[in-house]
Amino acid sequence: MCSVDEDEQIRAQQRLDQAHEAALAMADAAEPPPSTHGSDGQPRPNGASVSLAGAAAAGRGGASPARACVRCGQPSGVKTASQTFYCRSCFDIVMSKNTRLGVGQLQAPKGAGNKVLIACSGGPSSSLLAHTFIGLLHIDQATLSDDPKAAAASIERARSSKIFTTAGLVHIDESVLAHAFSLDAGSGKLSGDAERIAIAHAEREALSAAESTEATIRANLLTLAKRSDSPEWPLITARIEDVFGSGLVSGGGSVLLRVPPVNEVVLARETTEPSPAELIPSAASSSNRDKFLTMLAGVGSLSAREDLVRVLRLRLIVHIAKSRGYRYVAFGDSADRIAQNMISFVAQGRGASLAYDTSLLDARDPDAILGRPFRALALKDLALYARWSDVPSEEAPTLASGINLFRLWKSRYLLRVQQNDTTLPAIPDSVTPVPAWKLAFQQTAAASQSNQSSQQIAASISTLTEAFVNALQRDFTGTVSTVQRTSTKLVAVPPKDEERSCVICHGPIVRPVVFSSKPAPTLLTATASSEKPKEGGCGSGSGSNNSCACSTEPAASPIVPPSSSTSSCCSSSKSNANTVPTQAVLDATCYGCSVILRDVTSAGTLLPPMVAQEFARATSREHMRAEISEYLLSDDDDDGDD
Amino acid sequence: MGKKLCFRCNARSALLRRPKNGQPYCRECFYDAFETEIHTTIVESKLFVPGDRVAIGASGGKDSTVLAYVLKRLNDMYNYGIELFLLSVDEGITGYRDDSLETVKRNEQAYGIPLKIVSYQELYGWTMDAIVKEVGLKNNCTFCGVFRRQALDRGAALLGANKIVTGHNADDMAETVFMNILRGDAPRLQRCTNVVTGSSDTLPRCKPFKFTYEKEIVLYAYFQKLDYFSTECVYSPQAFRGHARAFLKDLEALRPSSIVDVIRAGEAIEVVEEVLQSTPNRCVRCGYLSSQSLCKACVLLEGLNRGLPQLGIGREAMKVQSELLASVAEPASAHPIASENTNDGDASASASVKAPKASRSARRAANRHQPHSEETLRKLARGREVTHVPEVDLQDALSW
Ligand SMILES: [Zn+2]
Ligand SMILES: [Zn+2]
Ligand SMILES: [Zn+2]
Ligand SMILES: [Zn+2]
Ligand SMILES: [Zn+2]
Ligand SMILES: [Zn+2]
Repeated sequence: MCSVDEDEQIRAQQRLDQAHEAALAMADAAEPPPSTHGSDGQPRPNGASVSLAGAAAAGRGGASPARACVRCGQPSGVKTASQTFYCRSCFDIVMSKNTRLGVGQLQAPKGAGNKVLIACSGGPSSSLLAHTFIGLLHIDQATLSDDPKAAAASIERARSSKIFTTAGLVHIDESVLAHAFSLDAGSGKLSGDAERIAIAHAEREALSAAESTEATIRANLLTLAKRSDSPEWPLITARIEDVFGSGLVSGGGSVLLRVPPVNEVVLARETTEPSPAELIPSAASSSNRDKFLTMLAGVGSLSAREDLVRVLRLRLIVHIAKSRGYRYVAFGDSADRIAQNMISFVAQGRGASLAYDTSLLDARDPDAILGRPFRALALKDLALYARWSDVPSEEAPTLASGINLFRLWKSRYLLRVQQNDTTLPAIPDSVTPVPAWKLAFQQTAAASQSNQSSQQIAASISTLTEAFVNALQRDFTGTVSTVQRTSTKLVAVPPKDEERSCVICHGPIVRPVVFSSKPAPTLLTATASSEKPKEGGCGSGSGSNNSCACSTEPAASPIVPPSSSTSSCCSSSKSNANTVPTQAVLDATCYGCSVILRDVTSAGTLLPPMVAQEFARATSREHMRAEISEYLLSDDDDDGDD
Repeated sequence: MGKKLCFRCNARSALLRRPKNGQPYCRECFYDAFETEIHTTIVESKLFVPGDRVAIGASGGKDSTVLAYVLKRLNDMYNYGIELFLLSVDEGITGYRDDSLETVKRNEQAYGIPLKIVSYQELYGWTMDAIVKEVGLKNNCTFCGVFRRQALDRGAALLGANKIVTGHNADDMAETVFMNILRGDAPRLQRCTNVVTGSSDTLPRCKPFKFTYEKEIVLYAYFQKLDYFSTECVYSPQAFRGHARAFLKDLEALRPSSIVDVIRAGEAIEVVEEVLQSTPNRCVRCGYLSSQSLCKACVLLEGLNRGLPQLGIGREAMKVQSELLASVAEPASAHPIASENTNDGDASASASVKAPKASRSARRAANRHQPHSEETLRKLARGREVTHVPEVDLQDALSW
């Protein structure tokens, strides 16, 4: 409808976008972008699938075959996210260049033997990132001399000229979340046996789907890793629930995180010689699973659950990187993801760390530098390029999309049960005691008003944001790149001293979070004031979770009041395993994480030991500081400025 | 639903659910909580000192009406020792303005706060009707945006006021945070969550409703039976701001604290320092603060008076000019209707008489300047003989 304005808008943007080769050709785009007038007006919850659908359409050559490639003039087959037309080979050339340029921006210091760990979700963007690294680190064997000594030397030389010398892949297995997909489905008043059976069927389906998705992702990542010519490309997989692993905290109150010995912990399984047999789940992680799910259950909102998982996933990845000597971690965040994060992080109160969370390089921690080399590249283009480059991808559902999937399955099974479908497989009777986390989920769901919402589509702040950004991008081409560019104008303000970083997410704490007064006076009372970080006592020495009393008593935490659950746990020897006042926890968290804590509804919710340990450290440092405060000149000044 | 007791006093039966946190409140406790939160904002931000002469930007809409009522009440209750005035702007839009001005006049009587009405005719020699006749609907938003901003300051000067308070509420502020992210406007993103804006050289603009939810303002007005002029809030569905507002509503429905969370996030965001720091000047013609020798209003007036409303020197320059000016205007002003709560004290609500006709041009305007960064504008402006080089930031900082 307003094509002139849009073209103006696009053109003006192009002028800014000199770095992006694809942009140059846009200046003469005289026709209105067809996407604006597309028939797909309905919001879709999953941005990735939207883009993939678009990519697939373009891949079939369905998009504007009449336009000529802006690079070579041949008939084009691709329209990029920035509305540029390319033939397939030019698209490949441009994308190859752009992805390599992105990685090249990481600018690692030379000669330090920089190892980079690539965080792979299994999705197209991060898989393509791994593919790009493989290409960049590739050393052409054909040019090597026959003399093995000389060949080794020239490999050495070639390696040292690269930004990074070695790389590895890390994948966090979140299939445990499938247990949480049914979380409010079984709550409250069930309409009857039929529904219970349908839920059991859907649960079984959710779990097996999650397992097979994970298997596919691992297979894909192993395929990728094997394409590397270097034998040193490991695929490290860890389960998200292993944030509760004892290997992640130090034993005796030391302020340093202890690096776990490779074979001792179940945190990560590393395979240099890929073989499916090595990916067997370990027994110990079942207790971590219970703890993890119980923690999730104690958080009363889907948004807060998703955000907590996101934060813990990041910490787990960083931990793995540090413990394996990877100084860099590279993430596949596309421009679309950056734009979505810009909005959804702000929506969840995460302004202070926004600059770090969206930056190209986040070097707050010099031992774990986080990079986002694809932050300026559109997801649609990355996905298409990944497809054409034969980079396999498969993504596990998020909590929100998984819940919606689950509801769909449940309603289908309900229909079949009601029609007495005899082809339904038998479901095992629920003889085993209901797991503690399941009870906790039911309690939480009953306490909140989420019963009514179980009819609607489950939405979280991140799914809302994804739909919002995608809808805007459809109507206003350039939204994503504009927002992505906004993020480059942010300034990362380091916390004034390191104690003031959040014990949960490590983000800067800009100002104390106080819920007891304005602007939201009643929030304190609405919050369960007793979420109780636990000192990392469980099996603190050897890393064997099985020896811990609480792993054999999974029902202990959620229902029993905090004090007694503490004493029943092996960590009772720790002095600060008691309930901590809400304000003390809030003092040690950033605003964004306090928003998560605000949604904690269950009194017995435990945060992972790594958080607990940092909390203990932060409070003791705080205490020490108070004692010596009269002698601290500069610190006093700093505090006064706040 | 049985009789619920008030969450706060646990004595009286609850009358409403607070939008901010979903808790049941009785009438008395709601009034008290609502007013106390505004008082807290005023005290903690040190908005007023005794002897202040405070002009309330009054449109007759709900925000400014409730603001006038509550400020009057708090001033009496807590002895702020400030003098309050109602300040309305008459843009000269036949039919529309009369009704809302009548509302403000009734408020003057009811609250006993003296009212000053400044008209475009009086300030600029042009009514909006006349401007629209001259420039058409396409660019009138440029004019009303620039003129309105100055009008409040000039009116306040006539009153001898030293501060202006506006009815910006928490929803407006959160929405503006998103708008500035979406438009890539880093400088505005930096300052849009300030409770006081403006520099030492211009009148400070204060927003006592910074943490006050729009829904609570409506509830308060409803139960207090306050007399306000309600405008239909018609958003053009494609307009950027309409999207942002709808998104914010969805967020609020999902998690009521989101609005405050967004403001808190906005407060913590730091952006790169503005590159161009020019020294403040005064407009040679009217004396209003301006980075250029002629302020924007005077440039626009010059064009109007010369019969060259576009101030065009060739087609390109014309475009540049209108883009510059469009971007200068506060984002909301691109859409006169959408600007009800989002502009300076909802004095802006006024410009919207021609709703159906205006929406198209407003949509175009919104589309047009949405993604422009200043960098673009400067690039566009560079090397051309433009009478007026944009100093978007400064001007905006001063006048907001
Ligand atoms: Zn080509
Ligand atoms: Zn945090
Ligand atoms: Zn234990
Ligand atoms: Zn009450
Ligand atoms: Zn207007
Ligand atoms: Zn002037």
